[in-house]
Amino acid sequence: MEYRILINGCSETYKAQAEELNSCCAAFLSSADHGKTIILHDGSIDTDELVSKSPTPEIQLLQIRRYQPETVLELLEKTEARETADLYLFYGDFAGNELSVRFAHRKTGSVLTGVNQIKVEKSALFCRKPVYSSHMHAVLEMKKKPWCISLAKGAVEPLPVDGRGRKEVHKAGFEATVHADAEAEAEDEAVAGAAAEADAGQSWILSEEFTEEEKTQELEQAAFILAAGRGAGSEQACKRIEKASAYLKADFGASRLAAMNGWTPLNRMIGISGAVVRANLCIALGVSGAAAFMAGVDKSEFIAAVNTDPKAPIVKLADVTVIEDAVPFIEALEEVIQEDFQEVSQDNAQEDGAQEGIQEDGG
Amino acid sequence: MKILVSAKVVPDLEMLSEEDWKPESLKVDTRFAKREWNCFDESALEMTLRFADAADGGNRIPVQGDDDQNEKQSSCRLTSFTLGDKGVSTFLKTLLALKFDHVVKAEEQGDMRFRPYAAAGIISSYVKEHPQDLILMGRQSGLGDNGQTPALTAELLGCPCITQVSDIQPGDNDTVIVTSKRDDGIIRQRIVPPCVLAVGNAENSYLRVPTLKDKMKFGKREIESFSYELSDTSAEEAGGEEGFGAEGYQLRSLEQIDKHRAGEVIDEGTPKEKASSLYHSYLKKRLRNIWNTES
Repeated sequence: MEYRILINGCSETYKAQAEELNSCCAAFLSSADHGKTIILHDGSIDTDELVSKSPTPEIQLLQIRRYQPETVLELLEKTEARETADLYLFYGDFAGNELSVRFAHRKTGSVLTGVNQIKVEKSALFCRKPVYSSHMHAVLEMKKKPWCISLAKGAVEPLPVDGRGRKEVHKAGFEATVHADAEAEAEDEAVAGAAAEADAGQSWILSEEFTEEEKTQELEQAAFILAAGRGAGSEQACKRIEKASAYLKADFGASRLAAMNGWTPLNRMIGISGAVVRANLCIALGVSGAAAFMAGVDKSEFIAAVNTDPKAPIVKLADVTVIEDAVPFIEALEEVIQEDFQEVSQDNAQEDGAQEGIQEDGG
Repeated sequence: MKILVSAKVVPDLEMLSEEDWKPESLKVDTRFAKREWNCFDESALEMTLRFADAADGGNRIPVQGDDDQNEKQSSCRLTSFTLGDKGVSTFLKTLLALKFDHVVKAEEQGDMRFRPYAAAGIISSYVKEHPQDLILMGRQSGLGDNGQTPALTAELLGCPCITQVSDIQPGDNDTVIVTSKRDDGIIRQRIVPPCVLAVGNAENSYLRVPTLKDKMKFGKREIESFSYELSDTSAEEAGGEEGFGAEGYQLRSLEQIDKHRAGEVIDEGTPKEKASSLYHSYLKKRLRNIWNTES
């Protein structure tokens, strides 16, 4: 089977993309399958660095002026016009989801987004993915090739790429520089022409301004998270939990309902439409346990919940639940930790004193 | 500006008890669950009303049938489009009361859970008959969680698409200011329609409640219906098998995701006693490890 991996090298998440897609290939594809990685790049990230992260030795660098789905799709169509692979794998972010769907349509193939597992069997691809707002898993059989798949966020454990021996075999896009032969040169020119044409075709965007925000990716890599839900009760309560997270050296997250109420910034949202975390410890305060939120935290090693309702769904979904209001609890927890630290410091001081005494006696 | 919002009514899945999650014949019975707007579609509806308020100063008077008359009264013509069953009427009446000019319903034909291509086909055929400047819809909706309909609609209409939209504002000279989310920030674009906008997370975008006066005055207008024909993948394309739909895939199994953990409960004592119990029994060692690793 022939497959392609698409990495958006215009995004700083390129490493996470490469590692998850690499993990997907290692887990679900056979060594007999042959793959090529298509890397989009706009010059903002060093191409040698991008190449070193490619999950496959064979690489196609596709240069664009800036990430714009319409331009990317037209270029992809051109580069994949001569030979169409059986399977196209996209990362599970918003860009990957959109590109997979639109590319599949243009190639008259089939597409599934948010996929957890794939399995090739005879002439079909079987995909497992969460449905019913993450309450159920469905297995769907895909027949129509090419199969285009975008992964579910955090579906697989990232697998670092061993970049040794990676060789770039082809460049295309605005500045096609490597030509294996005349045919490739002609093809490159066509792609470069398409790139320019596609970019010029974006006249529907008259202007744009970008405001940088704290990256969701940092939340996704946090070891310790305090998450506030609507049950926290108010914006002030969420702010109190956020303050506690700074004290406890935790990252602060929120459920969709808390963020939608404007109590916390949207980029703090955890769940299927926000960050998917793999924390060592997650304390969820005032979170009911809706499936969409739990899909964002269930890969965490240990989940502690704080909720006033002993019948809330989260009670069965957490390792341990404290039946209490969020704010009185977090204030008490800060106090308990502070006291414990003071005790430890006193013990250490006493031990040091005793040690010094022994040394003095011995001396 | 002609704006269409495609909005779906879905069951509130959080209301289902554990026993309800037992699929039979690859289906979960959700008929008895309370229904609500799909959360992203709800944001799209409210966003559209705010756009119209900003463009027309909040003095819209909806009309039906005669679009020319509407254009004289307001610069926006709002259409809602819902693919659904008989149970959606109450929701659609609310949209009439909220002064959508056209509230259109397409009757669902069979199981549409995993039919995003079919849904996009239906929406785009309506738009081809009734051209629109902006087409808004939520980025994803249950039960299929397909996340494909906006992008497919854009493809079928041959127009661009912006995803993760969190706000729209009227711009100068029939342009639209679209705010959307990217991986590492927020992008604000001034665009020339037509465009499909896939609405993502948008804070404080719950659908407003119509006034009693507007309910009486506008809520009793007619819900328009739209009829369509579904086209499927041929058996030849699907390797000789029937039932693969235009999507080219078919549901083979459905199972509940079991996320149960130990479920220990600490419910006795003062907040401090409970916090102490949690800290000393479960958190202390873990926190030390985390803090030691980080330092």
